[in-house]
Amino acid sequence: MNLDLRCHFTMLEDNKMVITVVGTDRPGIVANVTGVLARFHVNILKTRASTIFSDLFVIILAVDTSTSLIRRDVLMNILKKSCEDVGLAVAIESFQSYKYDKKVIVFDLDGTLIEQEVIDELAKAAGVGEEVKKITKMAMEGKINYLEALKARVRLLKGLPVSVLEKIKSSIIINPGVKELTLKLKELGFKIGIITGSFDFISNYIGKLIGADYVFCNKLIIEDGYLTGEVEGEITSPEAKLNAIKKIAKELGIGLESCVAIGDGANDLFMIENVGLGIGYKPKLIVKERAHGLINTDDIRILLALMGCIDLKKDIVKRLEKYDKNV
Amino acid sequence: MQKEEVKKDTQDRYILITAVGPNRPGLMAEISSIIAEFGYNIEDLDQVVMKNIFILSMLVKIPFNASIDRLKEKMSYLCNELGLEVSFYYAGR
Repeated sequence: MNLDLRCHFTMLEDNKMVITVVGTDRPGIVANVTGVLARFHVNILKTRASTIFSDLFVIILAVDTSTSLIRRDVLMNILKKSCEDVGLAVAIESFQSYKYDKKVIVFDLDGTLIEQEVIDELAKAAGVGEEVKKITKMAMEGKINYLEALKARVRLLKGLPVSVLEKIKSSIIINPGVKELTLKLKELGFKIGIITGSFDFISNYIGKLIGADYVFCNKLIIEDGYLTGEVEGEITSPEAKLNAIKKIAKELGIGLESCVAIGDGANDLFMIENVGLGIGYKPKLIVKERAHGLINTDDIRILLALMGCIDLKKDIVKRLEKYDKNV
Repeated sequence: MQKEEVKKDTQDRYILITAVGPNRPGLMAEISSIIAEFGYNIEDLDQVVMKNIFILSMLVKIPFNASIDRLKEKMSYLCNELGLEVSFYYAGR
């Protein structure tokens, strides 16, 4: 009996969620999103929608799903899909988690902060591109585990001179908006982390560039200026990435619901699923299905709006300037 | 004098639409779909439910060459059906 009551209570609490949608301003955005909610009888409790940064439109909807015709996870996936189809970024958070201020944000590196997959670049330079791809594929298919796959790939890099690492470093392309985003996040007081299965020479370099407070990565062993083909570190699996963010949260004395995680690949899945707000950035299908939010455009700055860090001051200044003109 | 007249006619207009009435799921979708049908842009929107009463205010940009009357007519008809009181305020250019 007691248990029943408690279940009922949590259900009620869980009925509220907050949906944030961001996209380039154009007619029909509100109709798109509210149309989906209406189809499944979801009640909108509060809406705030406005044009921000002059060309982006943001809608924040607080909804009650207790009258919904479908299960919440199904609803979330339909919402994500329908936003993706029309080029909108979206984040859906339960009220339980939404009410916590976000304090930490962690990024995956390859494919999220930077364009390239560093291991592929290294393999290309070592002339073992094809072999490395084969192992990556086997790991993706679950034929060998992440740790073995990492070790096997690094083994193939044995004898690569350190100068090559420097060359790769200088050819790395940082995704558009990353520097502005991280600068803004710092200003807002966020702690920034990089959690990646990529390697130290690049992770620490990017970490310094964006002012990261934490970098979790794997270390390539170098002897006399050459790679030994060995690797040290433990960021090899989805569990390891989750453990890394747990470590950060523990150190800062906060819960996972105050954390935001952004990534694209299957090994980001656990951290994306388990933090308060887990966002897929141009994600693989499995991440797409289980993330709380999606960004599919090039511009990672949209993340700020998805997280609710909208520059309201600027918005108000703009409004008041407009008001003066109109009077 | 005439020049000014011409200039005015090429400026977009804004109307503020408010709607108040009993809440139920789907109101936002029905109202916003009319705006989308006309191809007009919602510049700003606030909606809240208080004591199960739905309250909406939104600022809609009307292109200079489009008619407000048709939107007004259609919106009034819809809101009448939905049991909402609707008002339109001319909100300048």
